[in-house]
Amino acid sequence: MPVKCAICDGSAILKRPKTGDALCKNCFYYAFEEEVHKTIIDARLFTHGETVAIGASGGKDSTVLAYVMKELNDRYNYGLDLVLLSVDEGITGYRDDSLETVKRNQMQYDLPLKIVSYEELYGWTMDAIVQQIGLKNNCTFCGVFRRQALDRGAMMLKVNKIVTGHNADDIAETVVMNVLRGDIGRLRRCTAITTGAEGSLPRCKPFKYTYEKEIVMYAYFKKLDYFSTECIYSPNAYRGFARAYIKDVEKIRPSAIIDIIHSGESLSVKTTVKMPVQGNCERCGYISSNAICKACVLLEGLNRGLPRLGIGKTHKERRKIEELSKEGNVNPPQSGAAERQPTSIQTPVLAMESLSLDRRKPDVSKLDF
Amino acid sequence: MPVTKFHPYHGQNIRLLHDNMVAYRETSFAHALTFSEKALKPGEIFLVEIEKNELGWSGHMRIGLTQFDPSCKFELPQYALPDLQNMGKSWIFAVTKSHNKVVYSDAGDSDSVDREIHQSVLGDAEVIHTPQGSFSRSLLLPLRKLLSNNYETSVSTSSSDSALPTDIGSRIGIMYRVVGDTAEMRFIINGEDQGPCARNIPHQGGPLYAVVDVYGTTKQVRIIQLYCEGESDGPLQKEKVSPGRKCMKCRTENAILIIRVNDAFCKACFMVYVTHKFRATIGKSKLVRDGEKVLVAYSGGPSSSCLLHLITEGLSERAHKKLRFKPGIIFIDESAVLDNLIEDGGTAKDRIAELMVDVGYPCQTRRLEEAICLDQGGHLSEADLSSLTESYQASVCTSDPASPDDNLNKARVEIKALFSSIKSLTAREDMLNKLRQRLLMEVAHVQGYSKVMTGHCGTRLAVNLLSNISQGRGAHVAMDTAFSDTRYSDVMFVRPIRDFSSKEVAMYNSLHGVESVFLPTLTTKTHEGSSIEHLTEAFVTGLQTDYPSTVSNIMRTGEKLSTEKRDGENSNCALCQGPLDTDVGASSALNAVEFSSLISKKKNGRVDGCGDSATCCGEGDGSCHTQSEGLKKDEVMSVLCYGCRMTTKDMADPTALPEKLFRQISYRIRRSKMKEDIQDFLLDPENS
Ligand SMILES: [Zn+2]
Ligand SMILES: [Zn+2]
Ligand SMILES: [Zn+2]
Ligand SMILES: [Zn+2]
Repeated sequence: MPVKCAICDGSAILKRPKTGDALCKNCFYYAFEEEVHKTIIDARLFTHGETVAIGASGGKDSTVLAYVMKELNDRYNYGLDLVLLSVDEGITGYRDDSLETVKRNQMQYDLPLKIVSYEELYGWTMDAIVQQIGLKNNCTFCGVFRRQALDRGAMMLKVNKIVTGHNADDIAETVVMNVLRGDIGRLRRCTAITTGAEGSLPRCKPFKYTYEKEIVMYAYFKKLDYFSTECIYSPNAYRGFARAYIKDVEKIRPSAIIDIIHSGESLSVKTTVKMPVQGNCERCGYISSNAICKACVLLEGLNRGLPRLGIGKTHKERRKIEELSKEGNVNPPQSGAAERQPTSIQTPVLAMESLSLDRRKPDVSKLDF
Repeated sequence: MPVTKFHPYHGQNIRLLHDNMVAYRETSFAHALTFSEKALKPGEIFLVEIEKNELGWSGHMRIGLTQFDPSCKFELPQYALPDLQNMGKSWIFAVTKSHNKVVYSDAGDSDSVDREIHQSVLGDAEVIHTPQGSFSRSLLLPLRKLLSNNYETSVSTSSSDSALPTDIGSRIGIMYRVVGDTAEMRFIINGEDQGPCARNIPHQGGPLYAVVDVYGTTKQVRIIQLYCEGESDGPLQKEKVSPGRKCMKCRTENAILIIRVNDAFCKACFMVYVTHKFRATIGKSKLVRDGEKVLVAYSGGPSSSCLLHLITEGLSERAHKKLRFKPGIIFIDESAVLDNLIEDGGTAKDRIAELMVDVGYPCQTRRLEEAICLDQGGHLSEADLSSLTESYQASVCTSDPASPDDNLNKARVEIKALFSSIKSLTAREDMLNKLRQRLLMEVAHVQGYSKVMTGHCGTRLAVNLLSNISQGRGAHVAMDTAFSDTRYSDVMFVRPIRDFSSKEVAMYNSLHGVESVFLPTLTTKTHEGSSIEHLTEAFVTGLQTDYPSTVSNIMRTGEKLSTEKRDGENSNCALCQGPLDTDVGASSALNAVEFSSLISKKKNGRVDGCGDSATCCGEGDGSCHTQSEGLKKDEVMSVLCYGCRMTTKDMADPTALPEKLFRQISYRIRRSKMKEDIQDFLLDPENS
């Protein structure tokens, strides 16, 4: 006996991962799109006349996002100018294919496309970075640089906002990961639907409450073409554990993904706990809780032949680089490949005092025992 | 990796102890050169701890690398600095009280020192990976620091860092790493990478041995084993303490327990450490008053058995500073909801009753169904009061199933029905937790206990925290894991062993011969993914094995969250009394999930899942309200928190909650309707 669609009584062909309801194809599209629309309206993500960049990686989330954004913009007359924005990290064999996907999407959806490359933005391709630092820490670079690349590209395009394809699973995973790491600052921020401080571009997540499985399902039935974009460089270990955990919890209770997001939204941090103040990077203006943002620190390390600089969270490195930056001797990140040689820098007198050199050979005869 | 040792060839004043892992300078300040037994590999950290100092000397330990092979028995100089250094092929530095950061400069032009910014070789993860193996970051820290982390409140963080690198307990490491064709040498002092202190070491020219000159005030150093095998964080590492190993604290007694890898405590010092931790947790809270009546929840399990023992010890005359509260012990018999598993828990329960009586404080056994037993007001009825009189006999007479107490028998039937109506094990577990908590609160209330102590250890609380997050109870996690839980007006729940790991509990119990009794739970003999709590437990304990700071990280998260209670009768959940977290804006997970369930249902007509239920009213909009004072599902939901909504959603019929629970819910609903009616005439909106 064919199962009936819960909405229209037609014959159902799928069970919604989120609610368990049996639906036909069209009713699923309807429910999926209406939910995204509701998310956009409830959070007042956009205003009429804005230019919005869709972060397009060629992966499933951003491919579906581009499609749905275009669809909803037309249907509900958001009055948005949509553009696709893609970042080319320069990872051999990774983006080559996905960029092709993005380019195809551009034609299918009839949206303008801008591709910014790492080479253009930083003077380094991801492959070149990996060569410098080995495989171990490149996800730090990958993630940090990618976030910024999108912003920089967006600024070039003079857009008002960026939307990204982060879905409910991603957010739930981030909540769990930050609980495991005891990172209260990130834990508090990670459930916000719009991020970005003053002076930087707001980023929104219209898929905040959308299940990853439903995104796949939507792409599958709509025959949307995407490239599977698991970063080929290994992810953060804790994120991997959090991901595995989320998947297991979801099996027990499918609503758990949203439940975790609700938990994240309803956490209140003690007023006595100091939270990092979000400001802007002195060098590049990107949102940062430090005077110099992570990307600038990483870049500095790369350009100086000390690529591991800034991979840790030690504040000392940052402080040092801040000192250096005040000297005016440090290359801004835009400097690019031409200036990769480490520059000789005068040691600030103050810093020198705290770094006493014990290499001088002590005169033992003068020591009194 | 085999054990790291000192080379048997050493300076004439050195005596090697403890299987060549400790170097002691017997006399003078010189002729105290020691070497690593084997050459270091790139990235391998050679770590020593200063165990003894001798005053009256100037200067301290020197450490570095040399390419002289101690096996060749070359003639040893008096000092590492400058003698050995002058012999060449050696890179040595003195450890000083401060200023151990060394700037590398190329010889000559001292004005233009190329000041490099170095990245710590240690990274920022809790587990440090080196080519020779991985170890916990805490191993690089002095024990003193580790202990102070446990003892001090999270607020006061000062003064713990005041120890000097040359002090006893300080941990100093040396390593080199390959940079291009040569190597650079680094110091690691008390967990901090000091940056490159020598560069261009021709490591290909010959193997590099670690050199330690036990010089000046430094009298004795011990090699800390970073790579010894069997490092995995097993339940008890008792067997792994090598014979003759001394206690970290007193340094005289033989060690019996490793509280973290390589920090071994002897029995006496471990007891002091654990007891101190327990007393400090109670003491610093300043919440438990002298003479106060405290109800101690006892389940027979290891943690509550440990708690009970700590309390008994603390109250005994021989205790150093006697605890002064008045305990009563309670055991809750949950067999009513477990009978699908086994009914032969009888002997275990008898044993629990015996153990309670043995302790010698007032004790009682209550049945879980009493939590829903009918009464007149909000608490246990007058009729039940007589049965609640305390007894030194662990009497269970009135709550015996054979008892003529109709209410209780009715409650037993009702609670079984309730649990069998809950579809998922996750929700059943959640309901059990809430009912247990509720019963403890009511017994305490009726019998005049102002506190309830529970034996939740840190590991358990970390599991609960994450499990709560996954069940949408984010708003409650702080309250559920803090030392004190103040959600009830006149009874406070406290968790005095929340700083204990399950490993410490197990060791405490085994050292004291504390007996624990196994009773099955809802998830006994079920697979890992049978419930969210069960899954989370497996997840957290598994992660803890590889990442020993997992539990403390999770607890740290909980400590930074607010436990503030909101006032007003409508600000708490009618079921769990936690803060109501459902007053959220349009852009919220709650709103989104409600929309999802609406949108994929028929806009008009019957709702699926409703039609197939025998109790369906035929209303067709999901609001079956054929039962229970005509309350609608939506109304019931409106007074529940998000987490309790999730649990009641797993019930076949959420309006079929036990009458007692329901009465409170309907009372709440009536109150809020009343308030709505008179809303316009209330002058102060806060005056609710
Ligand atoms: Zn349909
Ligand atoms: Zn920057
Ligand atoms: Zn001892
Ligand atoms: Zn509740």
